[in-house]
Amino acid sequence: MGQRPRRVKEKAMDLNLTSMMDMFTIILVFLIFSFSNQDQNLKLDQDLTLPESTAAIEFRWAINVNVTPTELKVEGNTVAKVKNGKFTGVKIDKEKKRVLPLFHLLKKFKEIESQEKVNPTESETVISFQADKNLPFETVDLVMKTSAQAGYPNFRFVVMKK
Amino acid sequence: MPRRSEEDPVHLNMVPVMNLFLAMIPFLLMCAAFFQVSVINASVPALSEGGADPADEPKKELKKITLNLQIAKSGFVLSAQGDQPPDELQKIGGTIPKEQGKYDFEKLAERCKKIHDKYNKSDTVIILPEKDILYDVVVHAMDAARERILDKRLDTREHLFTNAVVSSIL
Repeated sequence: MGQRPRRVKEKAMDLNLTSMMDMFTIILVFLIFSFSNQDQNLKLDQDLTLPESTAAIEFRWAINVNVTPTELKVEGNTVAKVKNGKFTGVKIDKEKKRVLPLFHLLKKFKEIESQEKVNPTESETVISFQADKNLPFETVDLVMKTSAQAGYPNFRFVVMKK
Repeated sequence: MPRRSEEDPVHLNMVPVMNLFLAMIPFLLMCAAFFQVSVINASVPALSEGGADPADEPKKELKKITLNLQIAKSGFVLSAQGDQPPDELQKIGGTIPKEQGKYDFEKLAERCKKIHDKYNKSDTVIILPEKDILYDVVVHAMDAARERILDKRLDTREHLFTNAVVSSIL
């Protein structure tokens, strides 16, 4: 008589998920702590080093004007090139202290704003100003003066929280 | 003979919890801020149309001054304007020279605090940097003049000159 085949004991395989759960819990706690409801309108440039500050006011909607070491941008669009802290390839009205393409663009923004409701905050529209910390004040001042002349005299300097 | 007790360890079904975690992690990852950004309110001086009516002369405010903070290559230069007599205003002013080639922000903060304690209704500082001064220095000077952190852990602050006006020296 032939040998009967042995019954194979099929047992459900149990994965030990405890260590994975531990890892997930740690990740979850970390992510909950770094959760931010910050305004997503903020676009940071990669070649921009913002200054550090103790300021604690949260970012709110505003028109983004960025001055990086190489470019001047409005809402992500390049308006002028910057080289060694000076604007190149654009007309600058030295008497009135304004960067002409920036002035015309912001003037257009102001016109649109007066016709349509574009500001979701319902307060006065301001400029969210991001400038590289190593730029000389002369460059920063020129952008600020141009904006003020176009109808935006108030700014929010975007800084890294210390 | 006593029966051999076959007590298997109780296994909790962790799969639904795992599913929940897996759904939450990508969502939280999207909303996570790995750097904190904040803002400083500032303005540039604006010209107003027409002069003030001489008939309604404003009341003299002796507890209020406007602080002028000049940022020069050699250090900070403070001066003040207000309704006080000129000799009193002159006493507020002064210079804070650089310390070992670096701007002395601590001394500036101390000085601003002293001035604010005396003229506690003041809130405006006019910042006047020279053209070669770095933007980073301007922001740090604004910090020193704006507030004093009393407790970093509890984030309690004493507000000084909160209204910053940035202009340039002509």
